[in-house]
Amino acid sequence: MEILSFTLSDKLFGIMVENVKEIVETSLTTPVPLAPKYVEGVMNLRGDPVAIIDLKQKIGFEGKSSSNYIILCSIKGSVVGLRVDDIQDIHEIPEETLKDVPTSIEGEIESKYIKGILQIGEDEYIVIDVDELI
Amino acid sequence: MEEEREEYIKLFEEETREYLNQLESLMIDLEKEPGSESIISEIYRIFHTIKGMAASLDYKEIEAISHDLEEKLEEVKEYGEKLGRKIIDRIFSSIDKIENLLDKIRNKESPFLKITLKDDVKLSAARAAVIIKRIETMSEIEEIKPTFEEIKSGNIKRTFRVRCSNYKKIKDLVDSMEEVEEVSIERKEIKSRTLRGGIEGIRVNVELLDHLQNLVGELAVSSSRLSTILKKFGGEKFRRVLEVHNRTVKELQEIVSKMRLVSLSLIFNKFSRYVRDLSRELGKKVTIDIFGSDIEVDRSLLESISDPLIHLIRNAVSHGIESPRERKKLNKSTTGKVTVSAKRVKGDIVIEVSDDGIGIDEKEVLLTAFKKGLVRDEELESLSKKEILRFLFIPGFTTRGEVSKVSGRGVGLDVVKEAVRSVGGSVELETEKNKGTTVTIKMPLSMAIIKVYLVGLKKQLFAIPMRFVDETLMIPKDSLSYLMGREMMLLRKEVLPVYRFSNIMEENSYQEENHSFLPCVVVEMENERFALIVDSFRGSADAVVKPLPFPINNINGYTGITIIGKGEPCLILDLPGLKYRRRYENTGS
Repeated sequence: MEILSFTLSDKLFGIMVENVKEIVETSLTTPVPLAPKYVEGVMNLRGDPVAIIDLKQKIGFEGKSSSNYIILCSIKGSVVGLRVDDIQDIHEIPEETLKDVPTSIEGEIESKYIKGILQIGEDEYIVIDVDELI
Repeated sequence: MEEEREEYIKLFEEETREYLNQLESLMIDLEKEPGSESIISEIYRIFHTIKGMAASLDYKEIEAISHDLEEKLEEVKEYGEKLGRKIIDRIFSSIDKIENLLDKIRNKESPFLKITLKDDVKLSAARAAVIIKRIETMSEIEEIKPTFEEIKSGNIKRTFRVRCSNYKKIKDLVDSMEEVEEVSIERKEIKSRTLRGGIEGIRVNVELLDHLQNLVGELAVSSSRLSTILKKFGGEKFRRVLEVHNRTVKELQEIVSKMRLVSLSLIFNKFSRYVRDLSRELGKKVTIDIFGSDIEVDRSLLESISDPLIHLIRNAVSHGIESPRERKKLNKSTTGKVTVSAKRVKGDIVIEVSDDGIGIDEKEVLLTAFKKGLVRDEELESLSKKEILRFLFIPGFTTRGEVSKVSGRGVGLDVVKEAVRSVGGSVELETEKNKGTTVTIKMPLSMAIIKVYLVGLKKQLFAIPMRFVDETLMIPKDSLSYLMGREMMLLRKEVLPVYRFSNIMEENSYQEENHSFLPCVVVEMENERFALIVDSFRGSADAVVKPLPFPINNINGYTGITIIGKGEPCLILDLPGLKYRRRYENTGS
């Protein structure tokens, strides 16, 4: 199993690479008034509109990302972009290393969004279940 | 061979359906003009053609039905026998029968799989039964030869045949089984092929057409982008080349749109029959007049308005038109009348469904709305008839039980509206008690490329479908005033309600307070005119409409998205949708 890691407000996160379509760098999105708050807007991906989700807003963190990074994921058969603060690395790990959510972070993020916790050395990554996001 | 037959069958099915359509409208003509020789000949000719085609593909039942009618009609033609009710009813029922058989062909024309077990296999009956059970888990078995019972009782040598769905996969599956020697696909042979005269048209896959249209749309958008670049950088040579290019693209666009057009008669032809059957069922006398069925519209539009139109006609016949006795009491002709008419107005198509029936009593509607809490006490007196009738379109406002008593009509208008709105159209309703009701559907001729007017809100652009835009003008600020708590404006002696685009979009306006003129779009839609104040005008454009992406595909207020200028997405406003949003908010507070 491969995990793409990224940060939100200096916290470490990951999503499964199999859900990732591509990473794009752009700050250009068109806002969509009347849409839920966590929808940052839409972008033009080679002629097709794609909705961009501000992941921080979605999982209930303070503030909005001001980076250029968007991870394009496949969610329920559609391409959706997730705005994140910074992209880190790809980690190849055996599936069983994914641990259950410790009570320490429970409540901070809604538990259905979390697939599990990945421990690599000192670092702890919260692996997001993208299919549960929307 | 096998694929070729499939092609023929498809062709046969499509052509026969077209013929049946023609037959239905001919039959209606015949009812109006009983005994018309030319109509009878035409009906005869069609059955003859169907018979020939069916025979060449060995569809015995269809062949027999058409043959039978052909003979009957021959008698009528040759010996001047009267074309009685009996024969007419028979023709109608034959049309239905053939239609059913066509449905069967579409679903069931799977070939037999001829399965041969290996020479040395013992207990072939049990083996065969096991194989059949396996097939059953993956597909639907339509026929087994010999029958399953016969096989189980041991009546089988080495070979048996199974007709099932998904047969290509099943063939591979059975092929891989150890006890099977051979599997082959068995089909009836084509006896002959009807050759027809010169080829005037070809059949094209709709998906291919959609794709082509999308590509041409993209081409049109990049053309307009090139023009923007030209304006910026200039260049005489570039300008000339681009001129030719743009002309070609424009022509291409027109041709592609034309290729997608189909005649409204495809659905309109069914209405006569429908009204005839329904009115008989209900014991009413109803005639239907149809106008404009030769108008051509985009294929996808036709598909999406077919059901709503049938719904409106059903409403008209079953709730609108009164029984003959009631009509007599009201001093009306005992025969009610439903009219369906289509016409082109500017870039739109307008379809009206009207009846001369009982109409809708707006007071009853108001009462229902009040009971449902949609109207406040103080509004009871002030709402206009138009405003009251608008309640009929609110989802769930009318239910069958209530409606037949309360308003006589209007069942499921919300569903109709939803369907029409999904193709960028709008619905209006006019009614008068005891005089009748008219429902008007307005929509664009083509869905994929529409004319839009671009307006600005802060730095963002939004597209308004041109069909809603009556005019655009700069209005002096002092022409605005408040009337009964509502912002109003006086335009050439007409009082228009004013809405601020920024408020609707829940944004702050960019317009500085000290501007003395405001950009204003006069919008006309669904029985209503109003003024929409925006931040800026940005001109008109051709927009290639794309659907809103997941997960914002269900937001009320936009019909789609288009790509403009340097490639930024621009939201296309669904003004009727936004209006309803507003309506709910008003009543909610």
